[in-house]
Amino acid sequence: MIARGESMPARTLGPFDAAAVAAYAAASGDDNPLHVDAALARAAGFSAPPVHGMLIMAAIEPALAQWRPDLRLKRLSGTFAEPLLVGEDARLVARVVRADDREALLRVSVQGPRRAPCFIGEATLAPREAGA
Amino acid sequence: MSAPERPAAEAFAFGPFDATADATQIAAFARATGAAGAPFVFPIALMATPAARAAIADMIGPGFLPVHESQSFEAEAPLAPGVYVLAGTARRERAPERLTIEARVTTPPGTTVARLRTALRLFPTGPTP
Repeated sequence: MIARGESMPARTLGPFDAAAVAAYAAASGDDNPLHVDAALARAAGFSAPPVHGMLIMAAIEPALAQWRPDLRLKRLSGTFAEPLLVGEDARLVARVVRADDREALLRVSVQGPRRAPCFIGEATLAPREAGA
Repeated sequence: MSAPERPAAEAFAFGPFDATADATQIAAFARATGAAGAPFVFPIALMATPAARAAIADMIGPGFLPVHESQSFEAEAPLAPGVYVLAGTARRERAPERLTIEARVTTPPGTTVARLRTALRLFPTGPTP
């Protein structure tokens, strides 16, 4: 299916502009003004509004599907660390750390322009059923 | 007179709430996130239904800014447009201030479609009430 040690080629996520963040806010119902109000973000100490962590996490599924269309995402979990700001892009990497015939566990991280990752977590992939 | 002491942690029931996965909203979410079909993480949008939001705000309490700390999803069945039930448990901690929700998305007859766990760190926005 997939072998331990395999890596997805690194992908660039974003840059997420203000329109992308506003579209996610509207579609998800997460209307926290910190993500869309530049003045409020500045008052909170950010040079630009932080991108929703969930928008970054959501971008992992299409990247994994493009890499391995024969597999489907079964579990995805992680921690949001350093904020990614509007206008910035990030680098997604994923590596298989455990695999058998039924599923594969990947370590996933999204690194923005600053030192700490924006997101670090795990994804579990399983074979896609025929016709799915 | 001093304020009553709050417990270090409190447990709550979360829901059940009716939550509609509307086809238009799923499509908008997919466009916003680049997903094909119903996005894997779409269940997070069900947490924004008015009843769930009100419950979350009530558990957080006044005077806090919630910041998404961690998130997990597990899919058990494909999510299609329709009405679901969102239910689970929540834990409100005080040191540090955090709200953690563990919930299941089920069809009305009770088939689990997805599980999710959301942790919010809560930062005081002013003097603690």
